[in-house]
Amino acid sequence: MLLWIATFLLAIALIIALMVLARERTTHSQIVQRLEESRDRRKRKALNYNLKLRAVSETSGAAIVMVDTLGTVVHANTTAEEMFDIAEGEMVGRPLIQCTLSNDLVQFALETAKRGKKACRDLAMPGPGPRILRVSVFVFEVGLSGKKEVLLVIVDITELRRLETIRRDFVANVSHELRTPLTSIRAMAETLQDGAMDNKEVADRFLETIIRESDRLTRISEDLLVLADATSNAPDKEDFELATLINLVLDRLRPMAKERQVVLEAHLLGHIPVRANQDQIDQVLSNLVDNAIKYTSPGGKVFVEAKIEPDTIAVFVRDTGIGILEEDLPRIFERFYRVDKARSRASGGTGLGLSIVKNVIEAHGGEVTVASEFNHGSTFGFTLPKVTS
Amino acid sequence: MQVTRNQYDNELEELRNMVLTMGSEADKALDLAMQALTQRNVDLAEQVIQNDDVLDQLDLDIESHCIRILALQQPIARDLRLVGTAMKIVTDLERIGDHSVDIAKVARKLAGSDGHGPLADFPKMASEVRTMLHKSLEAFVKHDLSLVEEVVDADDKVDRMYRMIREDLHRTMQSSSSLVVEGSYLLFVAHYLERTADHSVNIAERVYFMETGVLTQLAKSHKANS
Ligand SMILES: Nc1ncnc2c1ncn2[C@@H]1O[C@H](COP(=O)(O)OP(=O)(O)O)[C@@H](O)[C@H]1O
Ligand SMILES: [Mg+2]
Repeated sequence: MLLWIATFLLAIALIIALMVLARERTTHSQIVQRLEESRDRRKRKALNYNLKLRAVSETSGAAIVMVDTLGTVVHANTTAEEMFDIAEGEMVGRPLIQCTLSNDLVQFALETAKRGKKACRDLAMPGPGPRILRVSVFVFEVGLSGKKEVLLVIVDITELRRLETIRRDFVANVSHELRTPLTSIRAMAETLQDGAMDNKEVADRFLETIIRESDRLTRISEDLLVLADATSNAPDKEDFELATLINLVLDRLRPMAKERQVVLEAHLLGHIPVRANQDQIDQVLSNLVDNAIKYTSPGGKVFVEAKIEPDTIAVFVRDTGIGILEEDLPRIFERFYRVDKARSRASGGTGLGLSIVKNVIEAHGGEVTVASEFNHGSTFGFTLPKVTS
Repeated sequence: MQVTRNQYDNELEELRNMVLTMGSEADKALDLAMQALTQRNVDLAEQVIQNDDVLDQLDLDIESHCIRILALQQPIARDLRLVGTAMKIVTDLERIGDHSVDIAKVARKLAGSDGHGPLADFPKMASEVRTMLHKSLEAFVKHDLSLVEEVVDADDKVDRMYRMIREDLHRTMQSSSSLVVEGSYLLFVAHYLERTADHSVNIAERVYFMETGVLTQLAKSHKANS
C-alpha cells in the first residue's frame, strides 16, 4: 500500500516536473523566436534605412562622398564617380587624393573634420578647362565610439559661374553702350553753351548730332526691352499669314533699299500660316532684312524666300553683300558684337539685332542658321514650327 | 609578419598620396601664375612665389619617405619601380613649380606696365599644358597607359602652339617698339609653358616604366632633364 502511494506520488511529481520542463522549453523557444523576429525586424529596418539613404544619395543630383578622418573614401554615389571619372565602385576604400587629384579638396575636408564644424567653399579643380566645385563639408560621429566621418556634398558650379560672368559683362556692356552717346550729347551741349551757339553752322551740326545720338539711345533702350521680353516670357502666340507680314516688312524697308541702291526681291509661297508672336516675328524679319541691306554695297541684291518644308516653315534672307569672316560667325549673335563697329554705328546699328533674332526664334522653338562667304554675301535663315490643325 | 606587410603597403600607399598631393599643388601654382599674368594681378603672383616653399617641402618629404622605404623595406620589382618613379616624378613636379614661380615673376613685372600686348593664345596653351600634367598624374594613379599616350600626343600640339606664339610675338615686337620689353617677357612665359609640357611627358614616361618595366623615350624631343 505504502509502495503504491509512493509510486503514485512519484508519478505525479514526474508529471509535474515534465510539465514544468515542457513549459520552460516553450517559454525558452518563444523567447528565442521573439528575439529572432525582432532581429529580423531591425535588420529589415536597417536595410530600409540603407536603401533610403542610398536612394537619397543617388537622386540628389549632387556628388556625395563620405570619408574617414584619414581621408579614405567610405561611400561615394554615382554622381561622384562620374564627376571624378572613376569606374563604378572604385572610389570606396581609396584615399580621396587618388580620386580627386585635388589637394585643396582633401585639405579642406580634413581641416573641417578637425574643427568639427560644417563649412562650404568653392574650389578650382585641376585638369582640362576651368572647373569650379562648390564643396560642403559636414562632420558627424558614427555610432557611440566617437569615431568621426566626413560627408562631402559637391556640386559643379562651373556653368553657373560662366553665366554670372556673362551677366556681369552684359551689364558692363550696356552701361558702356549708353555712356558713349550720352558723353557726346553732353559734350556738344556744353560746347554750344560755351558760345558755339552763335556760330549758326556749327550749332546746326551739333544739334543734328545731339538728335542723332538721342535717337540712338532710344533705339538701344527699345532693343533692350524687346530682348528682355524675348528672353524672359514665353511668346504670346496668334495665328497669322507669314507672307503678308513679310510683304509688310519689305514695303517698309523698300525706301531704305532704294536709297542704298540695293535691289529687294522676294519669293513667297501664297499661303504660309504660322502661329507665333507677330510683333516679335516682325522684329526678326526687320532686323535680318535691315542687316542684309545695310551690309550690302550699292548695286547688290537682297532676296527673301519663305517656304514650307516637311517639318517646319523656313525663311531665308540672302544678300550679295560684304559677307562675314568665318572667325566672326560664331560671335555675331552675341549681344553688342559688331564686326565693324564704325560701319554699324554709322548706319544706326545697336549690335543687338541678331541676338534679338536668335532669342525670339529659339523661344518659338525654331532655329537660326547663317552661312556666309567673305566679300560675296551671306544667308541668314530661321525656322518656325508648322501649324498643326 | 602580417603587421609589417600591412605597414609596408601603407607606406607605399602614402607615397602615392604624397606624389599626388604635390602634383595637385604644382598644378595650382601653374593655374594661379597664369591667372596672375592674364589678370595682371600682383597679389596672385606673390601668392605663387610664396607658396613655392610648400612644393619644396613636399619634394624633401617625398624623397626622405622614399629613402626610408628603400632602406627599411627593401622593395623589389613593381614596388621598387614605384619608389624609383616617385623620386623622378617629384623632380619634374618641383621644376614645374619653379617655372610657375618664373611665370609669376613675369606677371609681377608686367602688372606694373600698362602696355597691352596680345595674350590671346597663352590661356589656350596653358590649359593644354595643365591637361597634360593632369593626365600624366591620372595615368599614375589609374595605371592607365592610354593616358600616357594622350600626353605624348598632346606634346606635339603644345610644341606647335609654342612656335605660333613665338612667331606672333616676334611679329608684334617688330611692328611696335613699345611692345618689345613686354614681348620678350612673354617669350619667356611661352618657353616656361613648353618646358612644363616636357616635364609632364617625363612624368608620363615614368608611369610607363612603372607599369611595364620598360624604359623608353616616348617623346621624340626629350629636353626636360635640365
Ligand atoms: N547680312 C550681313 N552681312 C554682313 N555682316 C552682317 C550681316 N548681318 C549682320 N552682320 C554682322 O553682324 C553684326 C551684328 O549684327 P546685329 O546684331 O544686327 O547688329 P548691328 O546693329 O550692328 O546690325 C553686324 O555688326 C555685322 O558686322
Ligand atoms: Mg542689325
